[in-house]
Amino acid sequence: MGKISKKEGFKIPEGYFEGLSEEIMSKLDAGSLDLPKSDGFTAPDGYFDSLGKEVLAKEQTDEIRVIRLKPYKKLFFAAASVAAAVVLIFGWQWQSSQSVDFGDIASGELQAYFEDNSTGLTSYEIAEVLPIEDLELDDILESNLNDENIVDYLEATIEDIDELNLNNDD
Amino acid sequence: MIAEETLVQRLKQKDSKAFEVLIDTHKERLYWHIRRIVLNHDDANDVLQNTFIKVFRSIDGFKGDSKLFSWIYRIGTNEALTFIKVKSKKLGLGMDEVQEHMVNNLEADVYFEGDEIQLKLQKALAKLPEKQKLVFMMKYFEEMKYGEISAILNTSVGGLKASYHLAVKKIESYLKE
Repeated sequence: MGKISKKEGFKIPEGYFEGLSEEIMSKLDAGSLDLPKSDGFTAPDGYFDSLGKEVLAKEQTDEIRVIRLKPYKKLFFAAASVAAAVVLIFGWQWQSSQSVDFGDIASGELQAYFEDNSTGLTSYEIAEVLPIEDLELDDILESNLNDENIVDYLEATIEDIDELNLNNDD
Repeated sequence: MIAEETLVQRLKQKDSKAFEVLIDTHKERLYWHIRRIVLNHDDANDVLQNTFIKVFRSIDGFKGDSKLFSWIYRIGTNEALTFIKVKSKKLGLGMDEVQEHMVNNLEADVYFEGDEIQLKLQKALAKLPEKQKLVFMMKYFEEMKYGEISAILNTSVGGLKASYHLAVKKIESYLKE
């Protein structure tokens, strides 16, 4: 064995190891996909040439509301806006027509109404335009909730009411 | 070429020339980004114009924590996704169905010249979850770096790599069907 050369006679292309890691990484990224780099979309001729002027003109005339980016308020506004929208829309309908009572409308019908009569606005956008600061719970509910109603509700919906640690002072 | 800080300062002073510079700098890249989300040219045009107007009107809210480019892209992405959500409500379709509807319309779109494989790729993309689709588009077609995508989508680089890997696997398996 001592007389056999340790060399195996294999050779590699020049600079093989230099680009190897990059090559492996690019294969890892794209998997074994054999896809075209172009996606087939085109734009009308000259579209980008006139775009700047078009946007400037629109900016000066359009009444687009700007949505401030305050994500921490999003949930609060969304919930409040839905409640406010219910009050405004159905409050108006209630006053103008005596034949339909709010209590006659099933919650499924309410849901269907909003789905079928989309305003094209997200709840976040509605929240931006509705003044909700002055709204109270009483504006939304037909009658005041007393403690008894609340306890009845909790008993019916909570598995173990004792876990809430309620006492008479609360 | 105006430095970004100067441009932002001029935008905050409501300088319309600066707004024009901003549009010229980003219009093409942003258009293709939005177009790949909404697929149709007219819709992409509407979303793009609204994005620029929102950028201009809310520039005071830009604090410089990220690059202006990332901020604009984030607004553009949100606008495009909101557009699809509103469209799905108007059509009375779920999000999956509306994506399928949009891809089916591509075959009759004069501004789509894709061949069979490109159309099939769009069908595969329509089936991906939102985040995976966005990451794939931004990495594969727009050739963005993970760091840039991370700043726009507000997701860790590790999470983006995982999303991209999953997207590639799903597209691969769809194309083999």
